[in-house]
Amino acid sequence: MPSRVQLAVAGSGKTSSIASQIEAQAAQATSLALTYTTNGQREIASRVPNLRNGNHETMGWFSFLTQHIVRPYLPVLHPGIHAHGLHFVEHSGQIPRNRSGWKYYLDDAHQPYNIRLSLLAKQVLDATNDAPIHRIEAIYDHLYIDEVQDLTGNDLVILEKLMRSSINVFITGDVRQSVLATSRSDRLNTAYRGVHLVKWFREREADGICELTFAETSQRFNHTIARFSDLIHDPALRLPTTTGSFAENSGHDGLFLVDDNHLESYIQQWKPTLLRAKISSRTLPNAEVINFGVSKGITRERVAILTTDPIRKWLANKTLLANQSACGFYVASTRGRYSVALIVPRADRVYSRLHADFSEIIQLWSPNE
Amino acid sequence: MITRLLVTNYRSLQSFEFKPDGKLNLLVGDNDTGKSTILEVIALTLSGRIKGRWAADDLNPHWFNHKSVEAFFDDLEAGNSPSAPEISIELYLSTTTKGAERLRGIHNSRNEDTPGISIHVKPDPDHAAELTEYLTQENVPRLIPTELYMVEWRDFSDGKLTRQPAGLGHTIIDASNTGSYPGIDFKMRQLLKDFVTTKESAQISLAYRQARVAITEGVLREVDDRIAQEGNSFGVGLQMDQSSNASWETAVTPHIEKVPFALLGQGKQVATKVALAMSRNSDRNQFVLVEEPENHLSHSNLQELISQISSLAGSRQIFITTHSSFVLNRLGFDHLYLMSEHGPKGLNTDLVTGDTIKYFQRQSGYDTLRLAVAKKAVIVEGPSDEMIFNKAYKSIKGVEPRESGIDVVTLGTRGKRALELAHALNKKVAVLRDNDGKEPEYWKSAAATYLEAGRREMFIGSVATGVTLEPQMLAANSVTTLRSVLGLDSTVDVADHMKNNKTDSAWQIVNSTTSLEWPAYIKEAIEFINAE
Repeated sequence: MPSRVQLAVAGSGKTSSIASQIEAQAAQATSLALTYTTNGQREIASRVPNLRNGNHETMGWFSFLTQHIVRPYLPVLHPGIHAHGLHFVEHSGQIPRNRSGWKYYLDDAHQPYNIRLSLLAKQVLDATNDAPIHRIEAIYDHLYIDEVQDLTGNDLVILEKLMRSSINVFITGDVRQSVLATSRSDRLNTAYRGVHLVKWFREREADGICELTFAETSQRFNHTIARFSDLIHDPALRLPTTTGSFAENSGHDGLFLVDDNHLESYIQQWKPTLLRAKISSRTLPNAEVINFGVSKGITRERVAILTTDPIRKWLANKTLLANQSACGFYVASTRGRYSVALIVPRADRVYSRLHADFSEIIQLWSPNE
Repeated sequence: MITRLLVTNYRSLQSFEFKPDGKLNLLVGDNDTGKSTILEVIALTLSGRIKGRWAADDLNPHWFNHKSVEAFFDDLEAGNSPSAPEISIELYLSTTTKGAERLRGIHNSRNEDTPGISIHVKPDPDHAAELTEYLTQENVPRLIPTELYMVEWRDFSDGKLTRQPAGLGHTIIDASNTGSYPGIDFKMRQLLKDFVTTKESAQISLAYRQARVAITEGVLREVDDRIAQEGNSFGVGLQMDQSSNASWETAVTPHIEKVPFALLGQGKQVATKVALAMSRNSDRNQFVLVEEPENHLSHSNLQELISQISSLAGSRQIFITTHSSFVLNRLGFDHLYLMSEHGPKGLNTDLVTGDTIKYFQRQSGYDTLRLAVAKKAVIVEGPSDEMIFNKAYKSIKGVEPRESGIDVVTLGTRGKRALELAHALNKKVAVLRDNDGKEPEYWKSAAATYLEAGRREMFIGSVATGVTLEPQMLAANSVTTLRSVLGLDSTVDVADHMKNNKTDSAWQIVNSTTSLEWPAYIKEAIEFINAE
């Protein structure tokens, strides 16, 4: 049977969907849940009912590649090497140059470099006629992959082999939230990076190896926030329209433009969490401050986003944000339940020049309100 | 299912390979050929433990094969720098073995993509300098310094194992007397533990703890109070042991029809162990290891045990070591593995011709077994040959052949079959036969494939000195001597008498005190089989 892929918006209950599927498994069925971040692993593990503990495992993508694909068959490529653990680097610049043979993929203590692990895994699969997949088929009946948007490049080759295996595979994630990636230096499948992963799934669906569905209703935020979030990504991707089903009214709900100079009083009045694209030297008022990338997965009553130039350009004339910036901004915009404030210089001027698409959605806030 | 066992340098198994049968394996061999070591190795590799102790805790110099250790120290003393001996054990499982899916990979010496477990005992790299220092000492004791070694327990996927892989349960059944009260040794406790589910175990644990608390706070409290009141108690109080090792398993003992296990007879105890081990779902113990079931058991108990084992086996893989021809006959010749230096050899067509297998299958099994367990064997045709050979041996060497580890086996005219088997087992064998009117060279060339000078030889009298043993005896001695030994009067033809009364004649020769001369081929056979 084809694998099931569900691309779901933030707050649509992806993780609880996995937990309830695990609960519904047959008594003797064995399952594995994979996700990229340790937070995600903790989230799933904490929701898996105890009675499944003997038959269910949750593990990180890198551990999975090491334990189940690379390690058992590594002697085919590099005899005498015992892959274990993980050597985490941000980018290939952190790996010494001129490492070749097995040393290209693993450090001297035989720990794989995270960013080269999926390439090594693919080579092992190629060299063994997919033996690791058959091994995994014998171990697990069900495979759940959460946060699939974090997979890139060679990960997709491995993902496809898993989808084509006899294992019952369920994949979920939100391509609009691709702020992390297993490897930025992987040069394979670059056309499907970030939000463009949806195209990869559409092609696989056309090949008949998966069924693609979308979960468009978010219980996390209200409908105004949902409408705003839908405008962030390229409409050419034909992503479905989001419904925000959170209907509670707080008296300050939806999208607001807040002037830089009013930030302090806005914080005093509404106590939002501040979200910014990256760490900067700017002195900020006393509030919880989180970077876009790190804010993934969290929920707050209210957020205030420190806008960047591209975001302001986009507000004025809908100039599309670059792939990764769009994902970061999308994550930030979908954190607040009641309200999302966009902090801009000269808010009244920005407001007057808003693109027509936003005019109904965004309100201008002033302190005397 | 265990498909292959490869062992290097572990105890008596210097370089050893065993490809067991999927269902039943009867391991037959002399003492010290490593039969029980095979069971030990299987249990060790599956569980990481040896007699209840973790491998690393039990590791000692005697784990290492004596010959390899001697060779290493010889080499060292000769001024070379040989690499320190290592132990390697690899246990291969079939890909369909339940519970072994995760153990699959190619981390084994055959690079085979299959589940399995390995144990490597090798110098600990953290102690490399100390090992070098130790070995460069003057007069270093010829023992491996195992405190500088490490035990690596891994599966074929290169994963480190820390406990027995779930699903690969095994049960060891031995007929040894458990001795101590309550008569439940580690293996028995293990059986009990497997018998009770984790949930039940937790419930028993709780109830047991509560009971201990109740006693401590009830009747013991009163006793304590009294002690305290009488003074001079020095703070001594009595409490039930609440430490974690006072778990319920040590206080609970199985009863068979209300009789505590320890008070049962030996036979019943073994039967109980078998019942416990084999009545459960085979998922929980796929491998059953039975060590010399004939020990300490009466014949009827043994019979009961064997039928129990064969009827409860189910899908389990069973390994039995035995000396008993009865066990062998009951469980079937097809599953027989004969111990040899490099591993047990199945009695199959790889080894001997189908015809020979059929021949031995038709035998009672007993004589085959004797051939297999003997250090050296002499094959003769009939009972009279056996008696004469024994007598000749005793008169020349001063002892019975059996005292020199030589078994004399009567196998009729099928000496060639025995040679074939001995060849397969690489046994030292002398075959004595009648020439039946053909020169010795005829018989030797007929069996040439199996002969090897100094190892397996045929001894046959020449046609000139007689067709069978009796004329050969006559040729070696004077008619008068034999006539007197046999107590015959002058009217009887000695040759005819001996020919017609073979066994009686042999009996009289054996019991005679007269010094006799032995045919040359018998003397040659004695010297051959007696040589190391």
